[in-house]
Amino acid sequence: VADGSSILLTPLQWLLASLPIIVLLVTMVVLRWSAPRVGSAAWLVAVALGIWTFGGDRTLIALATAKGLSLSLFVLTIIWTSVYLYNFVERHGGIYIIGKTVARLTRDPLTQALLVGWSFSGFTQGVTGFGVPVALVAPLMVLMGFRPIKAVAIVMVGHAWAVTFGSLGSSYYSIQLVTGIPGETIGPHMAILFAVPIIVTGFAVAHIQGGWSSVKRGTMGIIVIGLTMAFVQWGAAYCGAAQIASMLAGLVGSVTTWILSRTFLLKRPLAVDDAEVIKPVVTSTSSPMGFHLAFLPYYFLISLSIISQIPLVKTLTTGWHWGLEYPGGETTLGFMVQPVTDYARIHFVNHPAPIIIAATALTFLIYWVLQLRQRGSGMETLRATYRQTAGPTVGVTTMVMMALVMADTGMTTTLANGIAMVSGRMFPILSPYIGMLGSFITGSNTNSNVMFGALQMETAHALGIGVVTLASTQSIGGSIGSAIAPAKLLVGTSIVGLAGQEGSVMRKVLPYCVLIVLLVGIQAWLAVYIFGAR
Amino acid sequence: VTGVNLINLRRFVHGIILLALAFNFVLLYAGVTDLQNNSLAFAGLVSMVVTASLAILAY
Repeated sequence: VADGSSILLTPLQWLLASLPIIVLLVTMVVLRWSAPRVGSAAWLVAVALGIWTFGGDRTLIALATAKGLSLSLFVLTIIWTSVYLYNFVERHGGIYIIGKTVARLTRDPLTQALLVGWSFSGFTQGVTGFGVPVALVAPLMVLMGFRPIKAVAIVMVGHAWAVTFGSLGSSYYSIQLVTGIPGETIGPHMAILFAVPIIVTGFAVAHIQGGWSSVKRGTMGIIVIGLTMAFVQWGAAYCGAAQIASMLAGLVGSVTTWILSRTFLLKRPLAVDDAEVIKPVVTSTSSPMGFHLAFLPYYFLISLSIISQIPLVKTLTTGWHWGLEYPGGETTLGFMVQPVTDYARIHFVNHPAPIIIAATALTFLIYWVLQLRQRGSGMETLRATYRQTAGPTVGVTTMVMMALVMADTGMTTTLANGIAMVSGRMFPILSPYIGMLGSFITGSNTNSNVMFGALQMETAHALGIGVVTLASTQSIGGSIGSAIAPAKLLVGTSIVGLAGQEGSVMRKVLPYCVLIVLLVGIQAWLAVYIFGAR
Repeated sequence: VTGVNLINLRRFVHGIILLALAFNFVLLYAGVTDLQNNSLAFAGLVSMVVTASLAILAY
């Protein structure tokens, strides 16, 4: 937690504060550097600015860097375990079976993209989050015949609507925590504002899949599915079950998509040339497993995630966590960093990594009992996982370190304050971009809400406009912004064998996110200035 | 043969970078939590600058 109220803001300072992000974007998108190089360069720039421009001494920079390493460990344990689980299932032929089964549900690429990349990925975000939807769904789409870059881009945009109410509500709780707005007020309000992003992400998925022809063909279906998911999400939030709102919406959306694929709303016209239909990629030999055995680790993953959220389980496991303590600090410009305890806390029951490890161990046991386990597969999988995750590990670590140096030296607050100051009455339009920025640099909607939630609320108070709407818009912007978070991109690219091509995916995803966030901003502006929303 | 050696060297350096990150974490944490031993935090920071520079060259 940092306090930036005493920061003196000049245009030059604002420009300098944005430099690490400019370096990150230019090296990734224009120079096409790999993530470890991008992250390292951006961290070095942030350190130099932190010391020479923002008044951080070497202890404060060391403190921020150490906190970055703590936080990256929180993210990396999820990447390592999810990639290991995927490789384990893949080596037993399970991924091939899952892909073949899902592909058989519908052979139309548009319906496949909407069903798997939009609704189902939203469901997995609702259950797990933290990059698992990308790790699970992107390879499935590759198996269904989508090109890897397209598959990752579809999932990144397709699951973005489900992030705030996803991960069993972690971002939703964080925005309540920092703004003090009760859940029964902000939950349903935010769920209504989510209707537009839900529908627009559906259109974006259709556009990535097949351009304007897919958008045209899928329009009615996307609107029906999107409204259904928005209604279910709002209903759950209204009934006080916001923590499962995304999960329920994704589940109902998946069923609705499958039903609509059998009606004129989504059914592929017979006139379409069969050459257009994507053929599933055959990458594995036959396996004695059926679909349910192949999907077993994911059944375990979903079940254990739900069990871990039961209040009794939470109560019984209070204190089963690991986190580090960090002292506070202050820059010479007066930016305060408060001391923290249990920083980047890894809960041994609620954190996805232990859940993924438990799901893998249970699957290992059942495959062993059923004599499906292949000899030596454990070590082989470990070697493959190391090869896939070594680069992303350096990338994630350096990028999170950069984010923390920016946050703890006041650069992030300077950036946000500058946006709020110059925007005036246009602030509602820029508000979701602040949320997006937070997710981009921290890789998490929750962290973005913690970082900027209070700032959004204070600005809304100062402008005399709807506090609940702008707090909601912060989280919605953060939700959509997580689609371009480098940490998540790295999960997707490393798992489908695109390590080093993060820039290509970013270039594909970024325009959709910028446009969706603009629509969210316009919606917020209309809500507070035209409709006088709270 | 040179190509194979180069690939092996890169893999070796990538492994070193990962180990260096872990080592730097320990050094930095020890430095920032022990205010009497400020030089440890500085050493960790310098070591991290070297590691990041190596990562820019090796990846």
